[in-house]
Amino acid sequence: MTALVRTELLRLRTARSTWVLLATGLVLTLAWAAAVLGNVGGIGASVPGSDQMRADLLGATGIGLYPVLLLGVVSVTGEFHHRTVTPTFLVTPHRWRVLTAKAAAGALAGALVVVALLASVWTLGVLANAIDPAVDAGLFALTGRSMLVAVCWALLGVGVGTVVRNQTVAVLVPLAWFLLIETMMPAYGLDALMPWLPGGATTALAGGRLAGALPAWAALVALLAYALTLLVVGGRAIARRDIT
Amino acid sequence: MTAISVHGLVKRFGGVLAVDDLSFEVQPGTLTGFVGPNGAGKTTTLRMILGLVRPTAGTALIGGVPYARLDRPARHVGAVLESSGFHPGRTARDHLRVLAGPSAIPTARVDEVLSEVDLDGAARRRVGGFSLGMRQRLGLAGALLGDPGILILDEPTNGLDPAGVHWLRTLLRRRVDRGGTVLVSSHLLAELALAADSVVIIKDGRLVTQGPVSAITAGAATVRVRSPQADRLRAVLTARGVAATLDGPDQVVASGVDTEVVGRAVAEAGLVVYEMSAQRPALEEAFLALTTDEGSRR
Repeated sequence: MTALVRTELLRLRTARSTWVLLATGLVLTLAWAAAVLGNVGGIGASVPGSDQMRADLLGATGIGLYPVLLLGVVSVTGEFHHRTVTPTFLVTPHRWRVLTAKAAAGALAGALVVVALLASVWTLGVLANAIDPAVDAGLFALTGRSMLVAVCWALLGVGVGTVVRNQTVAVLVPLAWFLLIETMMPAYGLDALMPWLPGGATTALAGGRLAGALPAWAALVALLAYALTLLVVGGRAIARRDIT
Repeated sequence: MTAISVHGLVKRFGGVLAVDDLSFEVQPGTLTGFVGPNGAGKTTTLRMILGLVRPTAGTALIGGVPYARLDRPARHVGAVLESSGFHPGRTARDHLRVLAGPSAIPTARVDEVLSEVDLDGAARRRVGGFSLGMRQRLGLAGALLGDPGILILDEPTNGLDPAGVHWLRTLLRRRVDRGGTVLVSSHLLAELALAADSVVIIKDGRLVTQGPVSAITAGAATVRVRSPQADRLRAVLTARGVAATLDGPDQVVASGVDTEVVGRAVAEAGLVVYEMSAQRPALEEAFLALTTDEGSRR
């Protein structure tokens, strides 16, 4: 299994699309952080040096989660899109193991990527005198939560990819879900549902503000349950599928 | 033990019967051609042997076990399949490193196979810019990674120029001479006849015939006889169970026999013969005779 996870990490590292996605994530995150810094002194802005300011700035990495999610999606759909699934299943006929390795590699990559994003935003904040460079328990807590969220989103991505094997559709579905469907819920009076949905659970796990938010641990369980359900449903289909 | 054995294999895709009760064996140390017209079920059969397509019925075994149960299959079987692809943004060398990973094949071996298929110069180039011939070579490099005893190739000559075909034939022959086993599908028989020891011919998902190349061509051999008593000769041959037809007023064509059989029949019946010639077709013609509608069993 270790060899398979290492292979999947190698697969991610050696595809140019991975680096394009991650670079996009970094640019978006820094742009978001710059916007937070630009708002200092404005209405509703946090005070530079406060814990809230740090949380606001590091929260900019939330936008960087989308590339992490898409990395998970593409790690599965790319196999079908580029028809590499044939050689992949030839060298590892046990298809569940391949999917498990993809999930593990995606989770590892997600955790590493979010740490890198947090470090760049934190450095930016310190350079801009908006963050007190003290490394304290609060910073570790923020980092830990962000890593958990990133792991969940990577797993959700792999899950979506196994269920929706068409690459274009699989990339659009989660974007539409988080950016349109969940944000439109209040307009239809479905606020009560939101804490339980993937987006709401993500907000709760990340420590964001949401009415009726689940406790962090429950949000984590909910997110993992969503990811696992997708993986099992999609995995069963892939395990049975004829690779022609 | 047989290298590859297929027994009662059936595959139904929806309402289409792609492979219909197919059985054949590939002996170790042979180069076997797997031939049939387009749509005969060659690719589906190979994919069932390799565990990629689930048979509706029957079994396909490699060295006595299903492919999925092989430990580190790349070390036992190498395969080049037609519709398998490459990530265009990955280099040739990285593509092979990814394939080598699960079987714990060292990177040194990756460089070795790259030079074996003459791609060392392109090792660090992205596959997206490769020609069809280069992709075929890279696919073959992937199959050779684990130095497997069995190679299964689906139409490997597509995209290769004549020099490339010759190169591939030499490479396959060399592996077989060293004790390896090769099963190679093709719809072009001419390039196969020069290299294959035996052939398995299928049509409409069913086995037409299998055996050594010489036996297949012998089965389709004919003897043409010119005689003023052609009609009587035809009757004599038919009485002996030989398929014979009249071709014009003074010629008889007997199929599936050699000149000895016909000569003896002529002598015993006391007939006059002006001319007799054996016509032993090339594998291509034998194949056509076996797979065109008149020649098929249905």
